[in-house]
Amino acid sequence: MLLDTFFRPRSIAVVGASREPEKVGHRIIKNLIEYGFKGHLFPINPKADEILGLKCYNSILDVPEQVDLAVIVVPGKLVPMVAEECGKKGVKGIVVISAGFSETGREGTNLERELLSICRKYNIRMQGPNCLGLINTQNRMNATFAAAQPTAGNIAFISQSGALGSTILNWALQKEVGFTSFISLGNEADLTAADFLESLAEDEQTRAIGLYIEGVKDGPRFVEVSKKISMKKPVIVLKSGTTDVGIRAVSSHTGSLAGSDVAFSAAFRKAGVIRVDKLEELFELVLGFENQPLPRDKNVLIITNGGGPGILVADACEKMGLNLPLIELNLREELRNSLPPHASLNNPLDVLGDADEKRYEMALKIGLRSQNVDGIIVVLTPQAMTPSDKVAEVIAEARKTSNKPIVTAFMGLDDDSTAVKTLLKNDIPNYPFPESTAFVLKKMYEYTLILKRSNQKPTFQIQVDHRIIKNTLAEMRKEDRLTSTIEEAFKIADSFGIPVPKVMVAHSLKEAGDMADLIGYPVAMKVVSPEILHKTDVGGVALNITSRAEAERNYENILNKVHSFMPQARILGISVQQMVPQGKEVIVGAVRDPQFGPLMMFGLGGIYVNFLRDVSYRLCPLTRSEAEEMVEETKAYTLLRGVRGEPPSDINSVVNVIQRISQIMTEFDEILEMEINPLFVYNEKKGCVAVDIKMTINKLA
Amino acid sequence: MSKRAIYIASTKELSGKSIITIALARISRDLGKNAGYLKPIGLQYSVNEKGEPRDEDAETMRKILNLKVNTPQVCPFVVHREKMLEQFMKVDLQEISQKILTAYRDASEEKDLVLIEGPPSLSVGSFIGCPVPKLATDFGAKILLVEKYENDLVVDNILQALDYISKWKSSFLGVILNQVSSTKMQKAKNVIKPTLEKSGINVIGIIPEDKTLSVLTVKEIYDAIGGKILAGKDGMDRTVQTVLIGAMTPESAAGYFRKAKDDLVITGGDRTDIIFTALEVGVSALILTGNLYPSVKIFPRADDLKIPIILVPFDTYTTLQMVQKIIGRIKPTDEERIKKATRLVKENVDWKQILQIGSHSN
Repeated sequence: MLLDTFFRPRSIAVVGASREPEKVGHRIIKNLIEYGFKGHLFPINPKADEILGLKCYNSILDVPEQVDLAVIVVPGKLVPMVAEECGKKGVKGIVVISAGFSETGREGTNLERELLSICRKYNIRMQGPNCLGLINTQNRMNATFAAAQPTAGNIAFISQSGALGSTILNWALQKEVGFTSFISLGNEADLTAADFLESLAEDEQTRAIGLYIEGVKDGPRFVEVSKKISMKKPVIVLKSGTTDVGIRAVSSHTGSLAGSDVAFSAAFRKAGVIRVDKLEELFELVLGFENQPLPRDKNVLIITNGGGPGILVADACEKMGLNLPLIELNLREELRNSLPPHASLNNPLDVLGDADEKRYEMALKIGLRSQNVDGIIVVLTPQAMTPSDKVAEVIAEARKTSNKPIVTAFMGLDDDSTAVKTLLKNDIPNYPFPESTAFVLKKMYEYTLILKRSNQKPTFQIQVDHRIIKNTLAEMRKEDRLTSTIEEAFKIADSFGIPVPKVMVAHSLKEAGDMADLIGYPVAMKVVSPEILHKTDVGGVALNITSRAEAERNYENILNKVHSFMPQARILGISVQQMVPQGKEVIVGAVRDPQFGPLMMFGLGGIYVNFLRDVSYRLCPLTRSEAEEMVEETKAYTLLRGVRGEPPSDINSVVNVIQRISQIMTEFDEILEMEINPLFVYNEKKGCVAVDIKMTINKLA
Repeated sequence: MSKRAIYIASTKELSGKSIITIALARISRDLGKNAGYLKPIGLQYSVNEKGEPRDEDAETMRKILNLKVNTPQVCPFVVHREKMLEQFMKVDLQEISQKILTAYRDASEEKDLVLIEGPPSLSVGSFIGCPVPKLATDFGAKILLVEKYENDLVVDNILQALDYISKWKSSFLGVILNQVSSTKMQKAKNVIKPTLEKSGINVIGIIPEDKTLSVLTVKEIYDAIGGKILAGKDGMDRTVQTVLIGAMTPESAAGYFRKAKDDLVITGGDRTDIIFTALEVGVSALILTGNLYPSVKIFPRADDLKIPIILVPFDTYTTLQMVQKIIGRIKPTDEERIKKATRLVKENVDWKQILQIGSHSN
């Protein structure tokens, strides 16, 4: 296993171990001893001879044996010196609990850099600094100063926040959720979330990984690593900082760019991780994924002893996009014979308020046998006639042989009631509120889809003459421009096989006339200026020009209007462009996210784009199916398929354009933004054409 | 009284007089000629360490032209735009006139030629009986108009100026059309120039716009508006072409930051999201307003990237106004810009005509 030094050390030194019980340096030694770490433990403290019965050493260099892992709790300023000693001692991993590093500003950042360079020099890997430590329940190693001693289980948890980490440990104890390991990331100066994810991927015992993050250190690596892991086990991620205010708070807290939520969503999707929006949902899912088989499909059977709660679950399922099928006729007949005549055999399957464990058992067995059902939700409300603890046992029994997930909502019961305890002990995820059950099954189904997605075809690349784009970029650099002219953008798009109209840029009245003649009427004319983002707003566009005289008149007109609206704008000329027939308007764009790289955007086009926000996003490079999904996710898709008897549009050509822009963005790091707005889409087999394209390149450092 | 003298004047503010004056001084120096400089009336009122009024721009010119005199000699009268009437209420007009003439004499002494820089418009100084054409006549200088060509109204302005000049019977050398954008160049040459020439106006040069000349450095802005440099000290020499306000979401801000070259971003110190976006996209500098200290965690990143972060007490709007005021007043203080300007003048202006005529005027 990767990072074995951290997860399975044979010996641990605690540098800065303390005799005083309230000190962190004491707590860590105590946790290690009490949790039952089997390897050798060496407290390091020059002022003590013995701590908790263990012989103390002046320095790690005095330890007579090999030390695999050092947990460091000395004041921040002393950490580099300790790390140096660890290096000389041949220690391969350090966990730096101490704070006072990059989280405190300039001096701390320098200290952290110094520490990191020492680690690099000695080939030491480092967790933290400024972290809570780590736990591996499999070898009874609790190298944290957390108060709770977690039970062993199948969940690994990684947290960027130490505070949240200790909360989760406490919560898990109450919910009887067992861990394989727990990792607090701290400042991630060396080891990042991706490193720990990578190593947990290989841990057979770990069935699911929960992750709390505020940001990621190396976006592309995070995506790459997560993509591989999520094929083996689900990764459930809670990312905070999704609102404007939250993003600001994250920036202040982590001292880094928080990044747009859109980019994170796209990154998580690419990585195949399951995203939740609330801490509560993270807990719910961890519980769900811990021991359950995955649903094959999205068909759910609800078994309930109360009409109302059953309907609540049914509503929730429907909203989540789950199906509530009827079970097969013959199975219903079987049930009819064993249930009271007024029991509902539909879905929700109502076993009635006076149901005992037998009725539940009957319904459960039928549900498990039904080919129409992929997952079962059991709802129980406290009724005099319904023995909840016996129902829990029945479910526990059914679970043993089931290859379908079973989740329950035993409502109105205490966490320490026998029924709830029985369920949790037998790995049945139980929730106090019925809606949670639908949410959990939906997310489990989502993971089934992620696994299916893994065998998609790789991205299709077209052969392109890169010289055209390289020359254009060089030209822009020469003229010291960051934004392209329409002529340049069209040239590049054309070289990648994106259909564009004929275009030329005029610098005088005469040129405008000559160019219009050459292109052929009707033409469109547009102002070319790096400062003008919305040409229509400043009178910078004239359409349907049918004669030379008109072209010349419009040349003057546009210059005048633009000048009066934006006197400072630098005008590079007026483009004369072939008019193309009106099509359905969509946008295809891409922007290079500073953390995750190129991010594709597709949506409804035209002047309402900013208002309607009918857009979908994916990280580049795109697979064909991702490009197709992008179109299918939007309302624009409905329009493209044709509404009210319109013929369908050439969606295939749009998908091609999306893939090609993705290819351009992937192949040319220099390009920061590229947007086709609008792209006119014509009827099926008639293609599409980019009417306007904007491109921005990066600033040279 | 008459000595080889050129009075560089304009009808509107910010036409580029100073830079053309510097370029002409450089060209004459290269020809082995010694040029004197005088700015009879200055409007960039400020106070020096001793509490004496002085003209900021004249002070800059004094340094660039390496004049071995003090600022009051270069610019005898500094006028405060808001209080000029009170300023000169008790001063004898005769005395003013005399003082200016003395200054001119000093400036021209042992010089092959004198370059006189005018105030923003020809009429400035009228209230003390010293408008540009009057002084030009007194000095025996020829007026060279430098006009920024923005639209056709420039023709009317020039014609009116000529009318005014002839009223004072001062001699007129011609006009330079300055800062002509590439899209207007053809029109300047094919329409404006012939039109002016038809009215007997000598168009001596048409200078294309060069954005890099109107660029200033972060340090220049900092020197002008003050504040506290929190981070990125090593980037004070970065240049600034555009000023942007960071008040939107980080994503939309990023869009603007990406498209602008050498952009200075003004935002609140509490907008850590905007600050990081600006740092990652790469801007020239950040000015944080309202004395709101940002999170200390941004400093190391700004230091690494060498992007200055300056904290000021003003609100965003005031800061923007202050910065924009400086941008209009850029002085070509660095050698790079002076060389560029000199080359532009050499290539696009009939400077021989200017300097020869200047030297034949005796």
